[in-house]
Amino acid sequence: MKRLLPLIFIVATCGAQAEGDDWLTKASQAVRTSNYRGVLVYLRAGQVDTLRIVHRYQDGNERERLVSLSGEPREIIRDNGVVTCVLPNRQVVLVARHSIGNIFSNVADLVADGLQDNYDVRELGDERLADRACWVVVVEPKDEFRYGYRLLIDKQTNLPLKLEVMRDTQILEQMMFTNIEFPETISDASLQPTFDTRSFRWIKHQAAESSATAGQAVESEWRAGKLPAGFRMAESGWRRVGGGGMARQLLFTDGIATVSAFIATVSSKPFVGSTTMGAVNAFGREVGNKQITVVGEVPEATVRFIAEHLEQRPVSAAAKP
Amino acid sequence: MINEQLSAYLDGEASPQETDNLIAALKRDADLRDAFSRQHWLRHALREARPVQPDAGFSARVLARLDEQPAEQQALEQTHTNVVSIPRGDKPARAARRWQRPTAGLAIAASVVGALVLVGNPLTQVDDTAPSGEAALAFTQPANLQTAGVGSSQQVASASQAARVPPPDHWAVSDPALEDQLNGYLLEHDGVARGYGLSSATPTSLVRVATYGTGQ
Repeated sequence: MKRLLPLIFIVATCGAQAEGDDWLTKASQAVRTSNYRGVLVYLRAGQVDTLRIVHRYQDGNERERLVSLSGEPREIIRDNGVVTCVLPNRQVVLVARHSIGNIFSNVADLVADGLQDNYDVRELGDERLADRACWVVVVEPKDEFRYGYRLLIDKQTNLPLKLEVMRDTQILEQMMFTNIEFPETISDASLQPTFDTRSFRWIKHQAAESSATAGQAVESEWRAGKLPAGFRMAESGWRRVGGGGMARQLLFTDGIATVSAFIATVSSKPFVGSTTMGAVNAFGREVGNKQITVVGEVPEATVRFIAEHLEQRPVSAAAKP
Repeated sequence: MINEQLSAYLDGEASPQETDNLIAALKRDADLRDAFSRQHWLRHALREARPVQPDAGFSARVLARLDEQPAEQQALEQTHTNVVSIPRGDKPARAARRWQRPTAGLAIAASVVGALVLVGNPLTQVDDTAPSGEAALAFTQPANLQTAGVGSSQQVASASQAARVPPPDHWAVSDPALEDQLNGYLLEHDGVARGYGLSSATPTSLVRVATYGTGQ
């Protein structure tokens, strides 16, 4: 019996972990496949912003509209992989396209192998928010390379109604719905921008390209010689940069957090060192004639670690696992 | 609708008519009073940057205060009471207050390059012509031709990258070009990361874009 006890404990622990992971997977699906509209409050140190959000999932298409209710007027519309930002004060419209492909297949990556090695995911009872009953799910990091999270997930729809990003016991950011409803249908009109953008300046982002279509003569490849525990490279692609140059983007994830590394030709004023914006950190360094910039919603230690361990290898060696 | 008015009210952006409507609603709706208390507390706690316990009696005091006054005087007097501390005024007035803050110099610099989030960032291609049907945008209201009085980019004197303590919605850099570049990278990161991890379970990325530089 004594020999069985550790096994029982392990089984019980794994069962609880799987339940926590399951909440996150359901939340990820709900945020894409639900119809909802409401007012969302975004809280950071000393600052509060309110936004109205409308989200529709219809016939396999996801469309979303965010309107800032405080500060500078701004509207953002997501139409599947196309994000359109309307900035009326500047008379500018920004269009960004991403090749998301079958994005739902990526949701499985939320529960990555080894997630339990780096986080404790637990459900801690329930709370009410925006007049709705919610599960409380806590994602607790096990080292200094990641933040912790606390989510309130709507019991009926699985939509996260509140997210707290935490470092130790300090709350870095909060995002919460102050009211929300789940209509059966959402009209096209409610997803249209308020402003007449015909006379605005339109700026388009280049979609991600593969190295082949980008026309790059790839003789060497960038990769992370070493990563913080649990992180792995999930995507690699090219972005067209100003002046026609290209930047390599590598996306890393540990199943919860995500970090991108950008490698581009160094400019006249290279970015060296670290900087921060709320919960987001960035770290830059020069390697030869290349500028490495690592960005993500992770602690400074993580972006620094990844930036310092990126290395260039001949393409033949890089192709080997 | 009333919740939007409440948020606007607490942000100092409610019109006098909306303010009157909100006060009337507060008098008859207990849930709304709770929401008012909650949001007021959140703002207060974060602005003070220290733990503050929710004030359970706050909404009751608001209601009592409202009951003490004739309805036609309430809207005016709310602007002066320390009990409720309800901001009021139109957007230009609020904007003017913002520019008077001690960090206005930094804010001006940041706003020139930052408020656009990505304009001029190194990952963009400029196309001055409106797209033909792209993004299927409809037009329901005349363009807002207001421009913020933010000065010119020449006001950004320093190109150094010395870190400062920034508002939480700005990068801690003083080089406009670098700020542009980081914003561009962040948006590209969010676009790709949306299929992974917690980025797929929350609207974090778009919210960041929608609120970048709004606290200046």
